[in-house]
Amino acid sequence: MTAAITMEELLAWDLETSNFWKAHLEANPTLLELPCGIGGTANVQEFARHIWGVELIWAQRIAGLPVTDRKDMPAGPLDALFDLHLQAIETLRGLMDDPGKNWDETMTLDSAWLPPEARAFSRRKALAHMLFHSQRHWAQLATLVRAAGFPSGFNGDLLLSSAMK
Amino acid sequence: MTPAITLEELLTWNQESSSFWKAHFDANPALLELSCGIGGNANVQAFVRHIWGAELVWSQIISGFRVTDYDVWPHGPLNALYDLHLSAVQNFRALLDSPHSNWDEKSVHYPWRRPESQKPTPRKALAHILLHSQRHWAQLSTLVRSQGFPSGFLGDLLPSSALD
Repeated sequence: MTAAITMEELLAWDLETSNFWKAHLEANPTLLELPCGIGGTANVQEFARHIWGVELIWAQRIAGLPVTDRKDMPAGPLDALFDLHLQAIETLRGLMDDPGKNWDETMTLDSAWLPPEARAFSRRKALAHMLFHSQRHWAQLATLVRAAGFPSGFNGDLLLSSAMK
Repeated sequence: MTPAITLEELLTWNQESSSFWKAHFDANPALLELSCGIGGNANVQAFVRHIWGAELVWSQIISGFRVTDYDVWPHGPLNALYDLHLSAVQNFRALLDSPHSNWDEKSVHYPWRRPESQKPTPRKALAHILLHSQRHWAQLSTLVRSQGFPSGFLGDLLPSSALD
């Protein structure tokens, strides 16, 4: 048997992580104003917008839906940003519940940040990319807030997640 | 069919990231002395030791081998730290190649596990450590950039050749 992590498990981990940060930022709203710099974002609120906004964009791309323009995404408040995540999850849920979905189908993205040889990929890869993109950024955010003097208590490791046995 | 990413693919992505950082530090050895603070590490070299050392420890735990004590890991130079990663990959490789690995048995005991915590499956433990490294490389990328030394690290899965 080839050992693997299912996208269901990765999605559950993603939900856990987003829920943690939503609750943490809600309880500590001043963190949203901390300067950031990751991915060209000026503060933590913009960074959270980037993470959840990218989830929505990728969910739409994978589903073959029209993609929301970044400039049309809300700049805040936190609830509005979290809604981007919730919309992404709803879209992905619909795809993952479809037994006929072809996850090996190739999609393309012509984007300058991607090397030319990486611009064609399966829907499966796109979904995994989206889910790991968020986890990698939450890890960076944990470091950022701790370095600014506000440790979050974020246990971001998969080992501690209930998403997987 | 439920889509999934195999641990083989995660291992390939892990090796790509480690190879990138090994080459980047070989070319820019002064970066190893930058102050760090992530995971209680004083500098980047200690942080890299943590990333690759944790890989070795988890590879031994999952394999049921005797675990190399933290104090015994080398502190440097970079090649010695990278050897921790290479030893870990060798152990991961053997696990993935073994037809006898029972990936879904809750069998993995790690010394710092709390009594109330369930033992993880080998599948979860291996996924954990492979992603532990990826999350730390992302933090390192931010750290070196914030100190004025952008690495050009494309850590996302999308540009990786680990899967199509």
